[in-house]
Amino acid sequence: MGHVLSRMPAGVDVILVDDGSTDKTAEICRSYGGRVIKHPVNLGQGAAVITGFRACLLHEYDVIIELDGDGQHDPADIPRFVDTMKSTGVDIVVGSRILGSNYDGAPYARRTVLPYLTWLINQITGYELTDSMCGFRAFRTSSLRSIAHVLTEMQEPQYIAAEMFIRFSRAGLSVIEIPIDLSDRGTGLSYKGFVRYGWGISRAILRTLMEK
Amino acid sequence: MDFAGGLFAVGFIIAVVFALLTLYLFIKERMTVQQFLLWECVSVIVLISSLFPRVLEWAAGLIGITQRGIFVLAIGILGAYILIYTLGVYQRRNDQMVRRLNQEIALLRYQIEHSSLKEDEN
Repeated sequence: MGHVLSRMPAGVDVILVDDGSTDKTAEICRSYGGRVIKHPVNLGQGAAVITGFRACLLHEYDVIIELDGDGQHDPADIPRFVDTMKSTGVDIVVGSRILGSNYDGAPYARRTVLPYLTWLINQITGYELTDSMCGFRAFRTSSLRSIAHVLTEMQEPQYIAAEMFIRFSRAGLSVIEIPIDLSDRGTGLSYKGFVRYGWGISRAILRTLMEK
Repeated sequence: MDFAGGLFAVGFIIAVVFALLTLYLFIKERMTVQQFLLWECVSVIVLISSLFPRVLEWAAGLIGITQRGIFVLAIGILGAYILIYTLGVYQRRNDQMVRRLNQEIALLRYQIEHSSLKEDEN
């Protein structure tokens, strides 16, 4: 966490969603001048993302950046996201690990399942993504604010990316990808195995499609 | 008393105990009116079935089952399925409510903390 925060570019406000962690995550974030929003209990990654968005919308930011706190995403890439958003005028800029230079080192489960899930999401949404599950994204605040009511309706506690893209496409938001390189996860392990990953996302897609 | 007679006696006792327990829980406000009525109905059905076994035979015959034991088992399994399904729906709804409440609590805490920081700065 400290490593991620120390690489944060100047002028970037940090809001960390502490999803029921039992270590010193919140203290470390505060020591770097970041703000912390803490879930009373663990609610899952998807719920944490939504809480983070809603907290950001309480402020008057131009751009909201979402990234993982485990060191997989390099905060030094943030200016590229912002510049791309400004130059293209899109609503959302998404990082693509597949377009990055070191994707061959990604876990087998992800490399196997991700292309199929991304293809499926592209068919549903009309987007042309290469990596639908990357958690490094930038959102134009005004666009996110326009669908604030949708954020509270999102139900997926864990695999939120699929639900997010389907809802964004329904709202007519535009998306573009930029390549990002993956760094090693600083600490902790990914619990998303082959079956769990595929099933979780398929379930989220099905449920979101069945909703009006 | 033969085996069947003993079974009906056990059924009668269970029905009476179940009906009294349901009433007790309702009085103690641990059950809603809807739940109370549902479980009292179940108790009454079990009670009638144990007092008048012919009723079971008649009901089993209506759907083409010749043995009342199989009929009771089938009804029990069907009831269990309905109960599990209903509880699953309730659990999902409660999960969503808990998640939303937790998010709202987190956001409210954040707002309070943030506004007190702003006041300190001013």
